[in-house]
Amino acid sequence: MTVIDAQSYEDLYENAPCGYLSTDMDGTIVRVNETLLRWLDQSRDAVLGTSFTQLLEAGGRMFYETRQRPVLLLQGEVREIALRLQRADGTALPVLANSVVVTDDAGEQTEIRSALFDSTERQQYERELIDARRVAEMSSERVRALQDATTAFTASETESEVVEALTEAVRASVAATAVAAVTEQPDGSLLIVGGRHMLDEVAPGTRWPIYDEAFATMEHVAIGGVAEADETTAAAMRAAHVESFTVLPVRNDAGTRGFIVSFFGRERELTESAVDLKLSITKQAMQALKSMRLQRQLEQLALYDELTGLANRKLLQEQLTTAIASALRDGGSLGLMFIDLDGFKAVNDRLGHDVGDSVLREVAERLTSVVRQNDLVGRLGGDEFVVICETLDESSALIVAERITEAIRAPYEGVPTPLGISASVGVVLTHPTAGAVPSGDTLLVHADAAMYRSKNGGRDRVTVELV
Amino acid sequence: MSGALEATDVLRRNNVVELGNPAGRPLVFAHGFGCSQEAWHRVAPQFTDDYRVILFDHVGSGGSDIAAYDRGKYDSLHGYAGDILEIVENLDLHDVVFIGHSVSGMMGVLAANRDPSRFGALVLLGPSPRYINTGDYIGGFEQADIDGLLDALDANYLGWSAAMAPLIMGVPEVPDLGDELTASFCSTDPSIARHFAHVTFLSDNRADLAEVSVPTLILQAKDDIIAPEVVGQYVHDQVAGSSYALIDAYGHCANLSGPDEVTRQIKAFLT
Repeated sequence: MTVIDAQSYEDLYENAPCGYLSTDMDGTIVRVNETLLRWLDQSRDAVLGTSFTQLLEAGGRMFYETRQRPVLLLQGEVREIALRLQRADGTALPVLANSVVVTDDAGEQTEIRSALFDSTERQQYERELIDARRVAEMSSERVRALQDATTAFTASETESEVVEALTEAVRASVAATAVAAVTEQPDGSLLIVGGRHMLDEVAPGTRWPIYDEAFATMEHVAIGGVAEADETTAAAMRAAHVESFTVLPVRNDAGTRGFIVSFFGRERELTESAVDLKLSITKQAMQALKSMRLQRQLEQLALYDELTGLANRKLLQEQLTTAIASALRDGGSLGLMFIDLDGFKAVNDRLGHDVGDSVLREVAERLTSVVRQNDLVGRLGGDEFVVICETLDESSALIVAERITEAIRAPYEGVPTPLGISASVGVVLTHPTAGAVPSGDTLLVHADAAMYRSKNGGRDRVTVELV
Repeated sequence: MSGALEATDVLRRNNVVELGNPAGRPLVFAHGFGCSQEAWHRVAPQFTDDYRVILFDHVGSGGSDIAAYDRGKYDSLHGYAGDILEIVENLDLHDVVFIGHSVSGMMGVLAANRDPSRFGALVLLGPSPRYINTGDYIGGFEQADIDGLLDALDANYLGWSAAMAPLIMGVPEVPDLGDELTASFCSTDPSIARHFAHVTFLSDNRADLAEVSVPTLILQAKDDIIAPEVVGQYVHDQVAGSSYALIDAYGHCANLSGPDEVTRQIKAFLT
């Protein structure tokens, strides 16, 4: 066994291939080896008695003091901590540090010993790794934010659900305390259409000066702190615990202007890419709203008869229900006319469907032109038409019905005289009261029955029935 | 405001731990950036004979419910202050002594300003209302230093996922279970740590100090490089009628480096 003398031990400590450092429990350096002094280009006297944290760069000092020192004191040991020491000339020396707390026989913590390893080589590629990871994280967060937003928009069933999903998606993407969506109304006023508007909660209905600034430029604008705001805005910000907020103006295809307002509980400055992300999410929402409106237009189309453009059975039923309800409410009367064409089958059979169709279109036009302005003309199907007449009394009913039979009786282009078309009309009049409210279907049945009486009575005539 | 959450949800969310005398005056201990309620483990036991001691973890730290971490909510100290109020309300505490270390001191100020009726006293250990130098105000740091802190966080979390993943996933071949378990001291999800660092070191709550209406003690350790003496003095000047004590403990985590001294000062203040 080799005997190692004290001098060799000292040499092993002083010139070890790593830096050694001991501090007392307060962090004051009490011992340091030659290797570390050489790395730092410092004299022993300059280092002894100073605080270990003084050897670190400011950012690393914050990290060490807030994260590593508590862990060291709690568990008695930390390993492979990445730190950056400051050399005498101000350049940085990246090191990995292992530290242990030494306790005496009484169990008292007495000093902290650290071994430091030069990590200059690792430093460079780790730096690259960190940068690469930050970039990757940012772009994947961005993709995820957009995907989440799209999913939420797709799942929305109403416009207000889309707007709520929009404000929530923007809130999540920029870590805002709250986000509100505001749109400009046709009269120029502004309306909060979704989300949470923290300033409006403390000063409802205020038109904040920054709004018009945003509209003037249509660029993203921010109030970066209470000190930047005008007096009214600043007072509201203080009351609402808002330290900063941003306004992103947008305009949809229809030209309507609005904006997304993001509120923050601390002074925040959004990066260009964060603003970009907000804009992308908002544009997606506007696209979703646009397709929702198109969808609604299509649904509207589904309420009209394709051939004649008149209301179809679905719309007629809806309108009839509404008309009964309003007659009941206003104590008014209501008329329903059932019109069946006489001689149409023969025209269709002998002259073909094209002629038949053009007759139906002509009938639709004639009906529309002879009824009163607010009456609704519809086609039930085939050669059956219906007119809903609100506030109709018996004498006006007869006048309108006679105008209809007269109009339909007139000749049609392409239809020879022997094949003439006329109308059998059944009119039902009702005056709904609380005790006796007829359903739409009941009225249709009665009008249909009245029409049959006209048909059986020799066609081209009007039968009126009171219900 | 807080009625939406059940008491058990709040207590689980913040990993609330109750110790001591249930009939005693409530002491709520709050940990600062970088650690968890473990930071109080040498102080809190010294109060359990006489006081009702409540410890908790901020959401995103320690044993809190990480799933409750909403970046928007916790983008400012107001979000954390709201949690403190929810804990106090759900335990129906009155005459609370709130003891906040580091950034938690300011959270306590915000909570007490919002509902002073619940609070009897504030003890702020190493508080700072703003870390960045601004005009005449000395906070101790420049914006670039915060970037340096974030770099240091990232550099030390580079291997975080690799080190934590086997533990989280319960892979049996963990080489040294003891070491792995101790690694959980003050451990945090790196992205939350980054965000919490931003919120802690870039907040400005100087204006809130003047609104403090409950008796306040500022405990200032020597050589605290995070919250230097000049900042502790500033807080003392801004909080009307506050007490200030320069204590015989070193560094920013005096609750770990000088737990007996911190305890002595708090007891002296409360009696």
